[in-house]
Amino acid sequence: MFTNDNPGVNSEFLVRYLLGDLPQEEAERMDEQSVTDEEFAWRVTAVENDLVDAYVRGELAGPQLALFESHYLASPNRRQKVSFARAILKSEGKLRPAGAKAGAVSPAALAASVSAKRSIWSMFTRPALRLQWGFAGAALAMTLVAGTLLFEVNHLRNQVTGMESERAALDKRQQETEKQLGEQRAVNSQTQSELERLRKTQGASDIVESIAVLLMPQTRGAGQPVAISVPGGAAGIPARLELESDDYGEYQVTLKDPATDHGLWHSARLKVAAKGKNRLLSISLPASLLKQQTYILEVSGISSKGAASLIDSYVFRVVRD
Amino acid sequence: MLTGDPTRNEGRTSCRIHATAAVGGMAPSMTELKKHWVLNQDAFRRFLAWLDAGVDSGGESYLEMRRRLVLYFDRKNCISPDDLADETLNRIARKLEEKGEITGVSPAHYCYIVAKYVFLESVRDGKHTGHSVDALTEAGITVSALTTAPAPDADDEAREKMMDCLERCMTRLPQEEQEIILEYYRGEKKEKIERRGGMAVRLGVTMNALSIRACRIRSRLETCLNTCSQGA
Repeated sequence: MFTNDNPGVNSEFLVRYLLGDLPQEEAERMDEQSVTDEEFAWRVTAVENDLVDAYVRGELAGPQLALFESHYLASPNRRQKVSFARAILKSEGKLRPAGAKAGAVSPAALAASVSAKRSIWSMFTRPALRLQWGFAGAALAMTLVAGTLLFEVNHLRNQVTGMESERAALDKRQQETEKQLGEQRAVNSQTQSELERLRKTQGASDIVESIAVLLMPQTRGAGQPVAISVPGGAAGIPARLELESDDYGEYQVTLKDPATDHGLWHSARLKVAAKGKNRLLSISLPASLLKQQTYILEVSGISSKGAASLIDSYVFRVVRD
Repeated sequence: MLTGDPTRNEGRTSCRIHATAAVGGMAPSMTELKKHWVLNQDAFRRFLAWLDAGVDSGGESYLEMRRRLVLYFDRKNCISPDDLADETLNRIARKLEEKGEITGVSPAHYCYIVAKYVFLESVRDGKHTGHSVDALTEAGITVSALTTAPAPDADDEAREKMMDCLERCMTRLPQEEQEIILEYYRGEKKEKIERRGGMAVRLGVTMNALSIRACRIRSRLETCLNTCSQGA
């Protein structure tokens, strides 16, 4: 069945109108529109031209062909239109645009060349929809990609800034800790020196209380074990152990090698000596047992029945002269 | 551009209007407004102005409306669609002169209303005896005889004349219009559709605009060919 490809036109409907195949009411409506609407009138003519061309090319068949020959050809004007179409068909390929010579380029090439320059400018002035949509799509895609990249860069920048702040805080904390450790070591070193000096001039027992190393429970340790200097020729190393609580009447301290967990030395039963808020146990470690390594001091509370319970442990490191 | 040349003939004034289409520089066949009623230049100018609806078209609206009316009457299978179209326009021009104005309806709609009355009168008066193909067949006239160019073994001279006329009419068109008309109607079916799509893109117009443009060119070509073939 013949159909016209004109966009915006119900071609099948118009073909039926031209072939007299519409109900009277519809036909009258088309009649009115074909007189009152110029654009519609030309659309009907366009469909009619294509219908006539299809007829002369033998493309009509069946009911359409029958209606064309019985209805359309009834008018002299329309028969003349068909004659014109036949003449055009017969002249196809023979007629050339004015000024064209035999063997010249085809009308298609001529039309293309005539429009070539115009088409370049028409890219920017005419609605070349596909090109415009393509550019718009590409611009949108690039904008989205750029936006995403910017967002990612900002996010990463924020992350880096955050990490740098954290590192700075960690560095500061480490510095403070090292400073505290250094101060404690300095104090211990001074204490050892003083002890050595006094040992030479006084009895050892008089010195212990004043220059003993203070050890804190491991739970409150600063991380690095306290270093205790053992001078050559020293007999005992005084130390004071601060207890978290004083729940027992007596205590015992055990020196252990952390590598083997063997007890190396036990103290006598000791009582807590309160000094202000601090609860302290005073001991004197035998210097001959101390090598240059780390040791653990375990404090056990002795119950009334004589049972021992581990309370705290203290870590220290021996530095021998 | 329109010029009026009123003449008197035995007490009956007729007005011969020379209408020239401004588009394409191609002169269509002469349009004559022959009627019993006297239509002078002023009345005709008034009629054109009314038809233009305030936008001076240089007579284009008149030519376009007449074309549509001819097609209307032709589709109604009227015997003389040209005469009936002229009758319609005459009546409107007369009405305009008598009443001074026509209000309440657009010029195009008014033309249709009057055309409808003219058609109904023609049916009543027996002027709508459009010959059916069956009647013609009974008279021994075949469909092919009605529609073909002179058969090869019949009148070579007539065929030759038609081709000459066609070529002559083509040369009267601007080159761009020649290319459009040759390209637009070339080919068959799918090839034709694709060709037209390509043309529209090259020319930077919509398919609809291209279709209308091709129609206008073909219409002028048909008129020229008919006039030339009849020896005018």
